[in-house]
Amino acid sequence: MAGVALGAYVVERSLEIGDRSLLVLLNGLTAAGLYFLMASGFTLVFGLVRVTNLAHGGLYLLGGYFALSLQRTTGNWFIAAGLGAVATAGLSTVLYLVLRRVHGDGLPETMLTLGAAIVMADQALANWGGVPSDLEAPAVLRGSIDLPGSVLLYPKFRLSVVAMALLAGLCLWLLLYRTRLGSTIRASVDDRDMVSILGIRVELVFCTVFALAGALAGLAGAAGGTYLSLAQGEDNRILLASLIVVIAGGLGSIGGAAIAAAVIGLVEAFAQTHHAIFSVLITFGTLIAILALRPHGIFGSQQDDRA
Amino acid sequence: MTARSRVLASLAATAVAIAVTPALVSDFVLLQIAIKSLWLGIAGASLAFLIGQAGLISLAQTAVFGVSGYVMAILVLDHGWDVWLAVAVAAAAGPVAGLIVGAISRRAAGLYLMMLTLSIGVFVFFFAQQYQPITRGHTGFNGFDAPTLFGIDLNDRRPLFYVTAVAAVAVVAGFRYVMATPAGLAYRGIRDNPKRLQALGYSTEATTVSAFAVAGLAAGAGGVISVWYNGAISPGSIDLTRTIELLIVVMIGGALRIEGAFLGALAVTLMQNYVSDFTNRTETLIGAVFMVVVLVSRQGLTGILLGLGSRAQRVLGWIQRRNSTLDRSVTDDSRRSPEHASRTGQHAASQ
Repeated sequence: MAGVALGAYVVERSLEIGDRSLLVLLNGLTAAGLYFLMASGFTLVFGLVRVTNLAHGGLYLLGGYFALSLQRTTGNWFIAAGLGAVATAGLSTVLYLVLRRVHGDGLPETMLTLGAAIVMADQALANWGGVPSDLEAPAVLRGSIDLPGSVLLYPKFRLSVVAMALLAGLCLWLLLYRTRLGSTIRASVDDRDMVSILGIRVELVFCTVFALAGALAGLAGAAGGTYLSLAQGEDNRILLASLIVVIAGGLGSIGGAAIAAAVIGLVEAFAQTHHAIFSVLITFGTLIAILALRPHGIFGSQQDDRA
Repeated sequence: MTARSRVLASLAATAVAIAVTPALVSDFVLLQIAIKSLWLGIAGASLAFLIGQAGLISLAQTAVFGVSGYVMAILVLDHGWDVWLAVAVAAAAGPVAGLIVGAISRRAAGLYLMMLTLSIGVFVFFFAQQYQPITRGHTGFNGFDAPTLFGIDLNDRRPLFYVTAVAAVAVVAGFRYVMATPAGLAYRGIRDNPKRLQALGYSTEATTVSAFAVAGLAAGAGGVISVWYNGAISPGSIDLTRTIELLIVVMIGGALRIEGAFLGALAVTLMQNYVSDFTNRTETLIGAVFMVVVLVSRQGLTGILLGLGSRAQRVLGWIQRRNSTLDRSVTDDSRRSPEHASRTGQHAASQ
């Protein structure tokens, strides 16, 4: 609740102060879009398999780099991003097949994803080098548009990231609440054993969710690689950001992730504009406060001891 | 052997090993491998204690490590304190920092604890990087001279090695002592069954906080020695990469035993130093080795070694049994003789 109130306060203040705050709002929402793309896959995997996928940042970075290389060969952003997402979906599936070999309380699985994250980061460095690089925005989304009621211009691509996140959110919602696969996934989140007893191959469901999360991370990598840039350490930065979002939103909840992404994105944009030096401290201080007061996240349920 | 004589024997063996190491290895190995893995192991031991004993996966131990290192560097380089006085304050800062981390995260468990301590670690890192008036920001502190002890300069590698080794032994002994006390039992209680512990009248929150404080002492000691060793401390010494490195040290070594941290530190240090001779992909190899170790054994290298040990013992026992069966078939009556019975009894006991 405190987060929502804070977010509302930030939005309200932003609207009051005018142009600069309109920028804060838009920057916040763009960041939120990227965070949501990352966090939704992360939280889905956690809800289902109880694995904190620390390789999710690595998938983001590799997805971005795949798209970069593919764009250089095909020249088309959409094909590049799509194929990059397919590739990271494949990688994520492989990761699941490795994780399947250990059964524990989540610790060995988490450690395996940590090892995978290190390998991914190092391989990204080996294949694409340490110099930051970025994708070129697709021709239709290049350039800026006038913002209504203001003199400012805003890059089209950044706005389209918000649209992309909304679209992804809509697709996820349709998948989870309007298809048979979706109800199986939701049922597996609630009671994995019962679903398995009912004769559904839970492993296949898990595999699908890992692939889906990988694709979302890859897509986020292509989007982030276009309006930010791809570099060493970006994987950790985005992983930390999406961890904050996921934790604040309550692990396993897509709706929570959406709200938390918006709140965190706005708080971050606000802090960057008004207290540039301490912006990261403010973000992480907020997270520490949230977790110290509500150890299961803002929207997390208190009885969830399995985590 | 009685427990006391076993402890004395292993202490004596460790003392001999420490005494002869500088004579056996090159100066490079002593500095780059031995001392480095000892202080990394000391910091790792604090995490191994938290994970293995109390079941608390903390990613804030590098932060505690950094607090001690920074406190010493700030007091000496910015305020001109006497080095040993600063060392004492820095050593005390470790448990205090641990206490604060513990107090913040006393209610969290499992994954949420990991995330909470991770945010504390990242917070401390960014504080060190951004808050220039105190921490000198990005560059941190350089040119820290290791102190002299009884007139011996600890900038020399041999004395530094001996001091670090003694500190390492003290840390292991200290943790073993704590593990043997009722408090140690309570720590294993929060690891295995917090609800039961509560039912027995313990406060799990207080127990958690005190575990963090105890671990903070070792993490702080590691931080102090690392500054002597590196002559510097900067945000880079406590960033996410270092946090992950420490976790890998403990997981590769195996958290169930405190000593595992030193094995893990040695393995990681060896890889960092020697893999670069034939490939640039050190990190890939470390990550892959880490994954393999986790896949093979949940208890890391110590688990694998102990597993090999018990397997060897089983094989030995099998050979012994087989031989004694052969003996028996030769001298049939000896089975009933009391002398033989007592001997097989001893066999069983010594296994």
